[in-house]
Amino acid sequence: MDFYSYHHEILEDGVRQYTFYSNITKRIYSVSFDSSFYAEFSEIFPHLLSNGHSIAVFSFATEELDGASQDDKVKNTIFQVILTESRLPGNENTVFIYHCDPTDDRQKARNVLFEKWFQETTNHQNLIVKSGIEVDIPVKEGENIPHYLGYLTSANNPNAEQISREFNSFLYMI
Amino acid sequence: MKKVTISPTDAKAIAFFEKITKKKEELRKKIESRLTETTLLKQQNVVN
Repeated sequence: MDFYSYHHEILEDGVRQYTFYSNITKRIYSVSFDSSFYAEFSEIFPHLLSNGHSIAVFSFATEELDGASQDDKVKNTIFQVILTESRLPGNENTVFIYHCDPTDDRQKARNVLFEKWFQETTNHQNLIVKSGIEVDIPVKEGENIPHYLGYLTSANNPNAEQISREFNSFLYMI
Repeated sequence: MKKVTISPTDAKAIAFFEKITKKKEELRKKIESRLTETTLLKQQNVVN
């Protein structure tokens, strides 16, 4: 599986960030993991969040392109980074929680792309059980904004069942 | 994919999504700022 070399650093607040560049899309990609993002909810969802890390993927253009470009190494690299994180000592049962960024109304497209990438990528091997949910949030009369979130965790996670139960019921418990 | 619609009266759920959206936006801005700073510093040959 072909992927880009990436740079890894730990930010001052403990966030672990991986960055790489695609010379096809001309974008810098950032994949970051934050173990404190959902920490305030960990008492309510002990299995889902006691070892829960948020995963955030951003990309930033470095120059304008005439049209859209596709680079399969981008998805390979993102999943290679997730695999690397999951194999860190102490991360064997980590739950990686993702939430598609809704701030520019492109969250549905992000979710579709992530689902597609997950199916296409073979290098997650036995890493991952994945679960996702669409949550419609009312913003005004008759108008909802969809949010897409889910989690990835090891297929061998002994708490997989409890994690799934907590994730599927979290909206009723927050 | 499972789909759930939040009631307009469910203030806690609405606040939860507002909170994580805001945190994500702050993270994006922080990362973008750091990347910009690093790129600018490299251009000035300050950072190798």
